[in-house]
Amino acid sequence: MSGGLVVDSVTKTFAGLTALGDVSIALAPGEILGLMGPNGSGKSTLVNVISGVLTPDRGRVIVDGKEVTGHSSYTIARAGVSRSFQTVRLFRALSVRDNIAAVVRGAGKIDSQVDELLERLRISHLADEKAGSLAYGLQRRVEIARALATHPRYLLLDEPAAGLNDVESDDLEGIIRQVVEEFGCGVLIIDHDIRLITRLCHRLHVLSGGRTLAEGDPQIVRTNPDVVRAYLGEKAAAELTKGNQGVKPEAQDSPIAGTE
Amino acid sequence: MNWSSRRLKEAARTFLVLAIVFVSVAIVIEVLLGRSDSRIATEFMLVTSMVIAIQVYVGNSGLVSFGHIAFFAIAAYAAGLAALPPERLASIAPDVPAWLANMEASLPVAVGIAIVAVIIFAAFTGVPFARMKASVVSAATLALLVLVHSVINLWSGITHGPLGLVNVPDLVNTWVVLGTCLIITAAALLYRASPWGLRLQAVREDEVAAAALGIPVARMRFAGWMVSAVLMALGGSVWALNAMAFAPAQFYFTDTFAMLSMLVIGGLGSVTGAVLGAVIVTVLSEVLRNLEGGLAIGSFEIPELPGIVQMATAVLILLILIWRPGGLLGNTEAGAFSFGNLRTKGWRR
Repeated sequence: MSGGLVVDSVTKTFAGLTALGDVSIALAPGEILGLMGPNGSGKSTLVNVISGVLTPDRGRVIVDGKEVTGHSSYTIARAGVSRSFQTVRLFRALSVRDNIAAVVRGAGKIDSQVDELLERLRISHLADEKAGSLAYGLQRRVEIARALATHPRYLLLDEPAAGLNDVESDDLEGIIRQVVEEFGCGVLIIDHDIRLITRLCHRLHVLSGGRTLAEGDPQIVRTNPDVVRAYLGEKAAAELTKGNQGVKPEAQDSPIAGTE
Repeated sequence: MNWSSRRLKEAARTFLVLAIVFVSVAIVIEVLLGRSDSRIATEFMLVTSMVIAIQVYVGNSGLVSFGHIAFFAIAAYAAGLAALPPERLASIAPDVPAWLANMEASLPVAVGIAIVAVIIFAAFTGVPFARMKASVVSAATLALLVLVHSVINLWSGITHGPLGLVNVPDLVNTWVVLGTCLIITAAALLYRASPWGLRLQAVREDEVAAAALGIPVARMRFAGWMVSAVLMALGGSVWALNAMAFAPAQFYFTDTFAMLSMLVIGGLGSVTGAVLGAVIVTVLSEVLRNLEGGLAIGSFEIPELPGIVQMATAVLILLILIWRPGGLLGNTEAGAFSFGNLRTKGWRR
């Protein structure tokens, strides 16, 4: 088979604790897939397995038909997978410009490629600032620009909206849409902000305790009783099954939206 | 490979500034200094150029290396053995193979042999070092230094043991020293501006992120190690042909400490910092060395203070590390300030 980023029945345990149990996902170019789940459900572990930071115990990771299971993160990055990190990991002492220039790959002058990315993410005015000195929201944006500099086919964003205010979060949404449109890459996005996720994603995949709880259309997944139970507990799930409209996605201050 | 013209321009500006410094020192040496003072001055220039060579690896990778003095030693001995005439070699180092003993090499050949010797040594050590965890690399380089020092000390048939090489021909004048400095400075700045240099800096900042974004961590570390070793070999071999006599004790902890202190004080992250640190530590040492023997100013007498140079340098390092962990200049090069920058940014506080 070719095309797509495929995670096939991946299992990863840490000292007997199952972080991922038999999880499978598929991501096509041009698609935005939301990965959700309570803290400790295995979301970041999955991203780390895909990007080669961790090696799975079982299962396969396939990028455009090429198996990369257990390969180094360098090889996987070269295969077309790029990522951001849950806790921002910029090259702090380097300028914003050099953060991007260090990883740029592709034909054309390096300086003009960097300038173009800076412009697209609207951070040109920060080009010569030291990355580590920027406000948190801007660091997140630089991280996305840096991830795009490798010309990825698949982009993994680990909680890009964490710590952002509403304005920044809306901004981020626009940027991700733009990225998919202009670069045509598939985006896997982890976030707790259910409002952002449902608006943005074509599909949702929910993990709980390292296992797949639900997947599919965002609207359906969001009202799935299992998902609600995992997030909000028994009571909310019971209310939902009673026919109560239950949890509204607009409930911004609900635990779903606010965690971490 | 894709070079950034912006980074190259900054490197060129920095080179201009540092070249002016080196050329001025060389002119002062030629015009003003006597024979013995001029040797101190040329030695200062060569030590500075070796600090720059160390900066190439340490500054860009963020990994402290104690092993560069081992490169220095290998280069000095290789160049010395190649340049020494066979009759002198026979009396101090009878086991030197004939092809090397009979060479009586000219300056470029002696330097070339030193570079080849160091390349071989650096390539063997560089491969495993590049794959090591960053936290253990320094310890490994320390072992390298001790190993090479021991071998030079014990292998007396080749190295003349603890007594070292003497009567090495003086093949170097001020202009050769100046040329060496300029080549090493240019190469260090060029490497820093290159895609390889930038990627090694990215690895220094965050190894995990760098790998996840497609930077080959081990390969970049190896490249930095090799470039740094070659420049060290160039500086070290010219130093040997300038010094004319040297012993294993000169390639050990005292020198490692002196050179690394210059780097730490000036700023690990920049070539300009390496030069600034070399100037500060050299001036400080020369001033304090006069105090070591004691001094009387009017009725006020300063007693003898043996060891004051190292002590003062050590205190300076501690103070710098406490208040300016990146060294005086941090990652900033002289060329970062162009007239254009000054116009647009102004002298803002």
